[in-house]
Amino acid sequence: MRAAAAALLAALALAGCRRDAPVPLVDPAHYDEFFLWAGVPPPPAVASAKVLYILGGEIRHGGPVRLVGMRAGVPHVPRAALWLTVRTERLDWDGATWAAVRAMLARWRAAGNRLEGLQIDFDAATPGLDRYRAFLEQVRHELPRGTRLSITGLLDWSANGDPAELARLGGLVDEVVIQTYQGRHTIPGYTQWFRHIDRLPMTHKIALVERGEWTPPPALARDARFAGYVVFLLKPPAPGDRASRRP
Amino acid sequence: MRLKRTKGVIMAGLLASSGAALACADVGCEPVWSLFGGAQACNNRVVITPGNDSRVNLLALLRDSAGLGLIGPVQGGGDYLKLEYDEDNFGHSFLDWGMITRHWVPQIDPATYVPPVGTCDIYGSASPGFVAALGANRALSEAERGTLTQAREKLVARCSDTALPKVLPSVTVTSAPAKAFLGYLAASDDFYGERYGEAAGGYTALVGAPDPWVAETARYMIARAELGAALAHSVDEYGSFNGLKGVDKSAALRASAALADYLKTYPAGRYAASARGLERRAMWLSADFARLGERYESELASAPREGAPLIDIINEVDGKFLSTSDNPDPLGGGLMMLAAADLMRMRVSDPGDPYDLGQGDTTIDAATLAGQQARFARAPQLYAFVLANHAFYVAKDYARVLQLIPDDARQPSFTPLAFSRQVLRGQALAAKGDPNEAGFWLELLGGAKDLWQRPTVELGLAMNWERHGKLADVFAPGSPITDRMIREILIAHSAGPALLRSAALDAARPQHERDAALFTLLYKQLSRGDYAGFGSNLGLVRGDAPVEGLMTFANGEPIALGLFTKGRTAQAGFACPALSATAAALAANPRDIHARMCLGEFWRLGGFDQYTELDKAPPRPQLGGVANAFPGTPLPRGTIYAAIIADPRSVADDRAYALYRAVMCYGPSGYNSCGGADVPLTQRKAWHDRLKRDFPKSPWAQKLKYYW
Repeated sequence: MRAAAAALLAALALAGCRRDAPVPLVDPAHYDEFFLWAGVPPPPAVASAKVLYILGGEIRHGGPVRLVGMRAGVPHVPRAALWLTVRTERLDWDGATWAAVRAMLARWRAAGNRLEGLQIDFDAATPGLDRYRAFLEQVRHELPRGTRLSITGLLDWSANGDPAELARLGGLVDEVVIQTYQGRHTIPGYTQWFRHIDRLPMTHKIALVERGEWTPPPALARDARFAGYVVFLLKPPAPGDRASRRP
Repeated sequence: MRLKRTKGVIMAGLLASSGAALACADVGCEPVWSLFGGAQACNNRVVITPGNDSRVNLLALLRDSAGLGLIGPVQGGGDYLKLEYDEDNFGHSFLDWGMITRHWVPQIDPATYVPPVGTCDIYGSASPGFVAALGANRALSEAERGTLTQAREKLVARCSDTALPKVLPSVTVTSAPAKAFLGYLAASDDFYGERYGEAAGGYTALVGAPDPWVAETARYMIARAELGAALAHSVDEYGSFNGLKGVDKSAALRASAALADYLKTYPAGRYAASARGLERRAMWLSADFARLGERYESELASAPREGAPLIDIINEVDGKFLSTSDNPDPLGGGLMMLAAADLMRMRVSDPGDPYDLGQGDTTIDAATLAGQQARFARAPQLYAFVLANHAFYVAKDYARVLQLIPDDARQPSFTPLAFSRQVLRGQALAAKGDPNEAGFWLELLGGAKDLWQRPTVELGLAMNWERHGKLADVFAPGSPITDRMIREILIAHSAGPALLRSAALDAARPQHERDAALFTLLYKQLSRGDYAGFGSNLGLVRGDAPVEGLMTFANGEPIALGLFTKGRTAQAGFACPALSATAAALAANPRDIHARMCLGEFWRLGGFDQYTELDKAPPRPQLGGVANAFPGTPLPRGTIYAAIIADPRSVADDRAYALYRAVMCYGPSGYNSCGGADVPLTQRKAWHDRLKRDFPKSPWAQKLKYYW
């Protein structure tokens, strides 16, 4: 699997290897929906945001399943629609985890926010969507009635996801936010994954990474369920601050 | 920052790709293969160096002070740490703080651990102490104990569910000791309700309570309440900590006083350890960095030399003191913190790294360092090392480095500082072009036993040999260069045909290295036009060489050597023979048009598009950046098509297919995936139009719908 992973990553990176022409980069000032992760100072555009997805907690692999709070306090942003995002690396949530997530939702709501609901951020491998769907059925069951459910999705769902499975997923979630980046960069060759984006059978937004490349693929124009962009905000670059390097 | 978002895409792509791979993947850390340690990078070194994460340097210095190696004994013997997928390129030469953290911070045992998930859970988990105190107080009646226990249970429940009814108004107790416990519950209700002023007041009223648990716990909780008050307005509207500017400093100072008061009253109290830790928090929140620096120095001195507590204190020292703009004087700490802080101020850009982001913004000057002499009085070797780093990376005065660090290469083993000193000396010898450089590295090898040390010295020696025409020594029998990655980098970039062939045949070496050598040999011969040589070496490919594999060598995964013998050479619609026959045809006539088209088909179907791993030399200051003994330049398939389109001898079928392929080079992204010179859109349109016009009946003309 590791070799295969490296192989594909590399194949995906092909188009990104030799770029000569300047390409448009994502500037938060032109958008009004954002992912706000821990430790990222919000740029000015966030002050007029319509929708914010704020990372509230993480559930990490290794050790017991546990919701780790990612914020020092409860957000108070009544001017925007707010989603509580929980990033998870595993699906074996137990009763205490559900209770903790519900409590976090309640606290965010009680703070006067216009809380839309819960967003699950999980890298569901496209061939394993059925397993993820089973988890999401449980999410629906555990969440208080009336809580909306958003999930993040991978770029290739529309191209490679089993249509029947995607349809079932569509019945469970209120929206999918498709991520077009990996690390801090737009996935090279992203346009090829958009050819069948209009087949995604649920409301979907497209997540872009700040300062990443983005030229809207033509297929988005005919995509009736496309509900807009969400920009994943990054820390401003600092000298020597790099999580990854491109050879 | 997360590095993710790949798995689904990977699985999907497996179906479509023949499994080729190359550099350019956007994940992971690509170290600069040189000893230059002046620039901050995603990879760290076993050598203490300005570019390292300050935490790695602190760790090295702390371990050094106890005569230990970076994570094990200096004599080595331990295993290298397991690399995560994004650390594949580290080999045994590089490391980072994350690896070290994984090594020492244990996975929690899920069987025994009940995780607290929020303040309300902490509230609940403290209940047994309260109940035990009730049991220990003989003056309480059983009924009062029951009432108070129940009250606490309800308070804990209400903490996480504010819809529950209020608890305390309805609780009544009559005896004085019971009232003290009830007062404690009321103060705690305020505390967990984040009413910190009321909480502090409530606890303060109880410090003279007759019950020893109530009196001591209340005195401790005053400080906790004041810390809560200090932070109460430090969170921004998005729920993030807003930095020290939002902290109530006077509350933090009151917390400091309360902690001192608690520790004076209860030096061995049940909360003494916690209180001592909270003192650091109070110093930080009150921005008292002078005291914090002193405290950290003593904490570092007494910290264990391994394990999670060591990781914790180093993280704290770095985050709260060394690497924060909150601290006006990061050079104000004691010896090891000072050395780490000094080194951070010597970061410079790396001339060997095309992705270098430039030097740090605060470079320390020699006068400041000279003024630190007295503070380093106890550690002259460390001081000389700090000065030598400044001489090497900032002043570029290599003779001074040699003066500051005498030759001490012949030792049975090296602690982190002793090793770092000698490597820096070796770097200075290299920078000066000293004829004894290689001899120095050879001597240093003898004692380079700790993890990462030997490959570091091998890198120095290998670069010397590469730069001095001694590449063959690297691959000679009994060569001291044993590190797989160092050898394979030289195979990929420096070795010529004869050396590659002998490396491929060297049965004493691991299969991966032999495969890397043969893959490089065959790829370069085929791409650079040595078709006869290719034909003569093709038989060296072992029968079980994989077709699915990598074309990069770094992570040690199987190499796709079998592509040359078993890879696809043709697709429906355009017939091509086996690669050996194509190569033989080209050996007989390099201008054979159909054979050249078939060579293009092999590159295309094998996934070689934009594969430049073996064609692009590293920058000169990196290993493999100077020597290149392989003659010729690669012939990209884009160039093949352009030549055949222009060649009047080409037959219709070949020319139509060349036109089709030339257009497809740009589809669908608009970027050239075939190599060779990029052509403008007008040219691609002209190819498309010509295919349609000149070969309307050709299946390729019918298949081509667009140009890009």
